[in-house]
Amino acid sequence: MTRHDPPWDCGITNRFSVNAIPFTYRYPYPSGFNASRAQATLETATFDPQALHPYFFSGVSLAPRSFAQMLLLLSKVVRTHFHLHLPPDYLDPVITASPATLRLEGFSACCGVYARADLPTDAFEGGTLASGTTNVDFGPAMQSALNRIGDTDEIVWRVGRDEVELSTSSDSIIERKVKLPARWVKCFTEVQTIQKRLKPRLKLSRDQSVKLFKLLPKGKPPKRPLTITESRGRVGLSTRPSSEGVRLSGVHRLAVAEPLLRSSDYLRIWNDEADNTGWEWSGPAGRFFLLHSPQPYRAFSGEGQNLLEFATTPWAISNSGFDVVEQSDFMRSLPFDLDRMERMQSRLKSARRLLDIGGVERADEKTDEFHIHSSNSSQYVRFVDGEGICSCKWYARHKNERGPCKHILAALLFGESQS
Amino acid sequence: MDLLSIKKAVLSNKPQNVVRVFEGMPEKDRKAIAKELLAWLERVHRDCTAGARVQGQLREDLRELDFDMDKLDESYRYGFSPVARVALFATQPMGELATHDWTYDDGEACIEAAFAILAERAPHWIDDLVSKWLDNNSRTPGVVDGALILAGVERDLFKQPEGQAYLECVAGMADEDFKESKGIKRDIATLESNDSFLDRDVFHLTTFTNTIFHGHSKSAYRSLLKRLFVKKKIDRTKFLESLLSGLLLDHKKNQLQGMTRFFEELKLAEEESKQMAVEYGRLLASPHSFVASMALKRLQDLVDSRTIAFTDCVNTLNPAFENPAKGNANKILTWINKQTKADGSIIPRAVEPVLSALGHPEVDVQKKAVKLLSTWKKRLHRDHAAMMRDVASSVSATVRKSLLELTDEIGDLPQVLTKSATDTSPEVDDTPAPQPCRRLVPIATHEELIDRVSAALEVTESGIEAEQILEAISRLGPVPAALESRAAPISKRAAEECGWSMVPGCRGLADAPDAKPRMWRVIAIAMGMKELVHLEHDFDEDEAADFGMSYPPQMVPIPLPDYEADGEYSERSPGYAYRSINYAWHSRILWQRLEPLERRLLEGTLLPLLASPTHDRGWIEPSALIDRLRQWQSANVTIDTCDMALALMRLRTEGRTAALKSAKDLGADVKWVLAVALDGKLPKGTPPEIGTTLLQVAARVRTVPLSKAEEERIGIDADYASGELPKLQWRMNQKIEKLKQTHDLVMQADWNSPPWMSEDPVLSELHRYKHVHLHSASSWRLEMDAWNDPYHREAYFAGAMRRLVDRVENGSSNSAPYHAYFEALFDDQFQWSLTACGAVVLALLGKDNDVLAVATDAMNEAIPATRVTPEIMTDAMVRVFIAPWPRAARFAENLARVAEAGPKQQQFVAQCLAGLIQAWCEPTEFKRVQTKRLEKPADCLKLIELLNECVADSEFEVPPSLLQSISKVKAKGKIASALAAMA
Repeated sequence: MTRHDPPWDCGITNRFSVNAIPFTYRYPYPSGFNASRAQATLETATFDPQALHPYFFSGVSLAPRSFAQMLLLLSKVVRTHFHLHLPPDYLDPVITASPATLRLEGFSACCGVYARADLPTDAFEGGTLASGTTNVDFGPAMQSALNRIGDTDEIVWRVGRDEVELSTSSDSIIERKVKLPARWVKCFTEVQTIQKRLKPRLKLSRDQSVKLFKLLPKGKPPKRPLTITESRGRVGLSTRPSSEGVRLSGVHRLAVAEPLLRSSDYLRIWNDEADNTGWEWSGPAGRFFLLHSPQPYRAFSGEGQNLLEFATTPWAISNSGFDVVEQSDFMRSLPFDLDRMERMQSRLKSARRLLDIGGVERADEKTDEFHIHSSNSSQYVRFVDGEGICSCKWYARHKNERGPCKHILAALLFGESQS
Repeated sequence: MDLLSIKKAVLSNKPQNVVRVFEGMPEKDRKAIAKELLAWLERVHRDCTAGARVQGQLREDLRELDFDMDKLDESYRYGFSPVARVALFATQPMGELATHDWTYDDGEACIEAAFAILAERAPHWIDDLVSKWLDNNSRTPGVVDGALILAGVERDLFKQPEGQAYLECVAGMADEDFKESKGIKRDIATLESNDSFLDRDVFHLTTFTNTIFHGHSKSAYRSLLKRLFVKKKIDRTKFLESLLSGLLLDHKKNQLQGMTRFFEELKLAEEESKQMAVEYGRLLASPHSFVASMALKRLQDLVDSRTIAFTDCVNTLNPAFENPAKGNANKILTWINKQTKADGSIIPRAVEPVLSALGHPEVDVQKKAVKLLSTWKKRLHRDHAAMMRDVASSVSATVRKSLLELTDEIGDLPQVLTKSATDTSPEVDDTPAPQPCRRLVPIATHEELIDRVSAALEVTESGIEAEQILEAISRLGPVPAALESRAAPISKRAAEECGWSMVPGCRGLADAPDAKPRMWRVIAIAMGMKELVHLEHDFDEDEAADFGMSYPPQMVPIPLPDYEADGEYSERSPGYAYRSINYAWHSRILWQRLEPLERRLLEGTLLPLLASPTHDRGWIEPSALIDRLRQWQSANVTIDTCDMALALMRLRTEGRTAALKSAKDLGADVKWVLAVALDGKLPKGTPPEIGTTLLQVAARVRTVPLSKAEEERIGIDADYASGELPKLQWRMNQKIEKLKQTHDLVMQADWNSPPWMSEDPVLSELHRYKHVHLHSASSWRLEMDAWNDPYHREAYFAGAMRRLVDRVENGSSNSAPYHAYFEALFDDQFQWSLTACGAVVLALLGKDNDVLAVATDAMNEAIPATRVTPEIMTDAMVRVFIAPWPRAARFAENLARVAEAGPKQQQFVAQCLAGLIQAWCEPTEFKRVQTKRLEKPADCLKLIELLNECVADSEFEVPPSLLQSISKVKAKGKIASALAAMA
């Protein structure tokens, strides 16, 4: 009997079964308010796969409502699939602590939205106790606690517990098994490359950003991109392309940030030539940054911005993140099993297969032109000013916006091997 | 034990027999027989429902096992019997067991037998197996039976599971039928004695997505919880807190509604409710109105009963105004008013939430807040006034004035214009300048053509791109031999996709079912594919009909089809005939251009297409047409009438005189046509033999009309030449019963075409196109269609109206990219027609945001350019609103976006609304004008409010005639107030 036979398998289908990594969050206690402490304390449990539970931070928030709204939005983004209506998987963000800033980041379930809350330690009374990267528990208790935080509350935020507390804790262990989308992990490296290309385009005041959100269409989001414009203080939303405007695809991906509007000082919009768009809110508790892929159906994992680098140099997982606002890298060691990364690069795998079967043929010894043959098709690749151009359907649809196609990659690898 | 004994034990249908037969069997023996046993069970399952011959064989085989097939368990018909499953527990590896579901009604004996086998076989598997089942269940609910898990725990078959997966499984029992089945107590009542549930799990039921509290699910859980409260088995206060905390989580709306309802059902005592006061305050921030409403009601009850003081909760009211719904916001303001009237000392503390209310998007709330502040003005101070001034820019225009007056009264702040933070003075026009009509750069080389074709086949929304590719193919011809290897992958793609079928994921030239075969052939020939050239035309009328089209059997020349014979005529409702016309006339115009192009390519005659646009939006520069005609004349090729007719239609108005002067070297016949088309004087002598078609078209595109005498001299139809045809009739119909979301607005044309037209295939084609315009669903095709007769787009937009009215309640634009219709509205030479305005009105009434956005932009651009007048737009609005189905509130909301674009747009909107409301007040030429609309606040209140907003914020003054008319309207409540405000 195979597992697909009707008597046994009555529809057990796991939508993540192929492209997901089984992952277990194991926290020593649930995040949330700790009633046993004298002062109102929001405790956030930490965990990384080496069974470490680092104690990163302890401080009193100076802007508690703003702080809570940022974390709630982050939590909402990582549980939402913006392209398809799929039930949420309770994924937790990753926190990176440094002496000056605590960064919490994650991706939407569709991997088309990257969210990061940058919380400077200045926004707290207290400080960082350790540096490093780990998962933090953002379960229901944490969300419920964040929802309860008001402007006038005095809240101590603790990220992790010290060893003594951990050993004497009577809390039950929280264990959540999730299917971490393999793409989620891949995305971390893609967004660093994309962020480095972003340029600031518009800066909107609080009133202007409220106006912008008011203009966003309700109901089903439009399929075609809109352009955000700003002229003499007036914010507009138009279908007409504008060189000074910023393209907005998937308005529902932006609308999710509405709770931040009132507590933010400004909204700065970034974008690049490929129409990846960054949204930066700055408020008393810190900064919140959203990065949208060019279309809601496009995940960052499929952008393939590092494929060329990967094709020509040995793969090295970047241990650094990038903060587009500060234009600087920050150290980060992702708490995931990264051995699968190479297997996830399907375009590169295909390109190597083309090389293995001897499917790459230089059209002319003097020119950068190639015929790429596979079992069922032949394509023509040429390079103009270093940019690959292919005759395949994939290239026709995406050009090099999402990285090179497998034929261009194969030609590049072929060229490397020849040289 | 041998397999035979095992089979007999399974067929005995007694689980204990199976347990016995496997007792003490080593693991390697189990593994050895696992496959064989499984295959046999599968065969029994499969063959017992097969045909007589197969069943007979099975019967024989079972007889050898001393078993009568008639006694075979019924469950084999659908899978394996419960006892067979027990046998599988004894033989299958854990990985396999973990993948199957555990929802069967196997009976207690079978369950216990299965676990007894596991306990003997591999006790360390059991907990892992349960964990895996629960894990699967959390992804695919229903995989594991929650009652069985509870039963297993009760019988100590495995340890008590923990975590969300377990809770989800237990919560899933709410969906089940809890009747006892085959001896298993499938009842959540077992939870009453489950310590971990009572001490821990019950407080987590509100933290994850489940159906326990849903209205439609069984009430078993809710009853259980109530029972447990009565028996004091769970901490009620703790549960209530968890329930209220759960209401702040991001659950689905129906779950939150259920939780709210359950909270109400619990009927909290005052003291109990008092403990929840802080939680109520937090719930006011909920984005769900019903949650905030419940919390507000509880707070009000506590204050009314003096259990808590109003001042204790006034600070928590601010977040309630973040919810855009106005119900709760209004309730809070009313409550504050009541409380402050009773005790004036609390006014200073109440000011802050009222100031927050000014930030609410609803005008009603803002008005109420200002009114409240006005009553307190003696208690307010300069700081309050400053805060009001800060928000004055974001409040609505009708509120702003009174708010600023109030701030003036409160404090002597410097008078600063705070009408708006942005500069919206009437003289400032923020409307983006219309994009100039761009000159197109033709495709220069075959290399460029290959790249452009490769991309456009897959992705293009632009009709211009399609035209430019056809033009380059016609001018450059097939790729030379040196480039054939480069073009080969593209021609192969053309060959593969050259059928009628749709290409998945394709949004380009291949996404045009109506014109695809001909288009692909032209492309394939241009890309150097030789094999296709000799193929016959594979035009299949039946296939075409599948796309909602119908074609004559031969394409060239196009015979005049008999409309009555080809059209469908059906009764859709009693007394109402609905004519469905499945023609794509414009498609045939494209086909008719492609056929001679293909022929020329095969012959090797390379000439520019006459009708290819030289400018964006489909226009042709007159001098460019002269150049092209000169090339045709040099090549001694007969002019293609369809191509020439289209070229004339697309001529721009600029440069006509100069172009006509430069045409001296052209043939006499062509010069005749050009003289007519380019506003020249008619040459002497008799009209040419070139045919009536081109002269008719030429007369139609003149900017200076011909005199009667001239028309008679060359024998053309005056109505056609003046663009009067077709005479479209507007007919609004009631929503057809039983056809959900179907609205009928039928545009009927005058089908009585002049008799001579039926003799001319091309002109009759063009003429019919003008009667009814239908289309395929590709953006680039819709865009191209707009250029078939750009000076007369009545029929084009009538077609748009037909499509839009059918989808007015449909928000998806996936298969209907109707936004492409509106691109023509950006054409700076196009003065909006009645049907163009009608299409825009329908766009503003609809839910398709792609259509809405482009229609809004078109209005914003056309209004300052005066390409649309308020009179014609009002006419369109009035005509559409004759029907009962348009939703005026949605229309007002969308129209407000136009008004917000700038002062000119605001004034335009005000003029249109004034005209519309006037029409509603006083029936004019329309018999069915619905004055009753003005008596339905839900229907038209928003429109009147929008007019009031525009009036308050612009220089527009309500016409006295409208004021006189509305004074006669018998309206009540809010509508009366809105009308009074207008006056």
